[in-house]
Amino acid sequence: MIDAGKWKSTFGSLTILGVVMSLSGGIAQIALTPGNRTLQISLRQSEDERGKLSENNQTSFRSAISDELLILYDILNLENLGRISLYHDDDVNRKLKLLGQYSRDRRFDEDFTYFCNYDEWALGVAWVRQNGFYFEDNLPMDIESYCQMCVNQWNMNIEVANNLRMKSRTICIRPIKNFNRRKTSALVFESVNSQAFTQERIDELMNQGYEEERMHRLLRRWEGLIPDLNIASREGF
Amino acid sequence: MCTIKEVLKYTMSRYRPPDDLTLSRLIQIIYLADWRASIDRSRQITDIEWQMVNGEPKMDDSSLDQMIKFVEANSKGETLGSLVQNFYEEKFGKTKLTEVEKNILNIVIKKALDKSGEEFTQLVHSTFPSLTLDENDRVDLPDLAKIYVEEIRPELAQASGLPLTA
Repeated sequence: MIDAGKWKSTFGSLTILGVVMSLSGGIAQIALTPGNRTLQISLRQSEDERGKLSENNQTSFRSAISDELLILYDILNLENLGRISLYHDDDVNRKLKLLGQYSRDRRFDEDFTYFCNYDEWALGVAWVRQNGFYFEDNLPMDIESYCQMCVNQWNMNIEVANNLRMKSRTICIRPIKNFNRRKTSALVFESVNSQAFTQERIDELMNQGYEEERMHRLLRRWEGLIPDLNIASREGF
Repeated sequence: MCTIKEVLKYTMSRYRPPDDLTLSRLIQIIYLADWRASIDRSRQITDIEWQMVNGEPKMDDSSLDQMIKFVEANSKGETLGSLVQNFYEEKFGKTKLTEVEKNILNIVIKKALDKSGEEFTQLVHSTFPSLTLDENDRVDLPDLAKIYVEEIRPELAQASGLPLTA
């Protein structure tokens, strides 16, 4: 569950300029996807944005992930109504921890100590499926119906559902797998608008697994250095 | 509370080998010391107003100015490493830091010396304020420490089955 009352460990940062630079090749390759001029233009614009980000010498893991998600966000043209999040599997504690997030509206931001249990929220529902996929594009607008849906379909308790910072009406989840095809993370695309995007659009964005592999490589770079509240706690901080 | 100058003098006098010390590392050390002091005794060592930017602690402008001026005034064009080489406690006379404050700084300095740069940064970014605060939020370390000590840390200890470290 996305537990607003809790926090839990996660995420953090480190020097990243090299990572940002190294990823630009990946974006360029996506732009080669045939037959989609709009996507190519969007990607080119994002390349410019990436250039600016590199110039700014982004220096943290959090900002690196956020930059990556920003690019996807712009391509999907989510305006001020969307959010893209990256969750990472903590298989020891059977939770998915929020690693990174991008939204234009800060009211949608969860803090980085949030987690999702394996069988809760749309992400939990997706996670226990073999393919890890999830898509809905017409979730209830009415808050009461929305919360009831959270309880019935997403195994959430009503209080947590009420406290969700973003009550998305379109949500799409795609897993990120490692080289052994085991799910290690997941991307969550959301919008408060209904029918904000299609599954096909997301799959196009994921470029038949290329984007997934790129994200996986990014996460591998940070493996062992991802900040976690347990680390600070164990050391007396 | 102590002045940033006192903390800088003490930290520089204790950091060996000094060549490893950078300004950003110094800032991280002072942040961790302020955070640890907030956990242990509900107040910071310094009066620095901290901010978080992408999980990285940043000093308020006035404190940063003081720090830079202090380093510049004492370095005489030398690198920070060679400056620190010259920093011995006796050179600056008796420190105004209390024993408790010195102990906290000693703990943090030891962590900084024992870890690689990446590991130390990971530790800084794993602290509760770093993980919970949004960009540009002002950080009230003692307030956050209260929540951390009373609510979060006991749950962490329970979940991990490990005792709390002192």
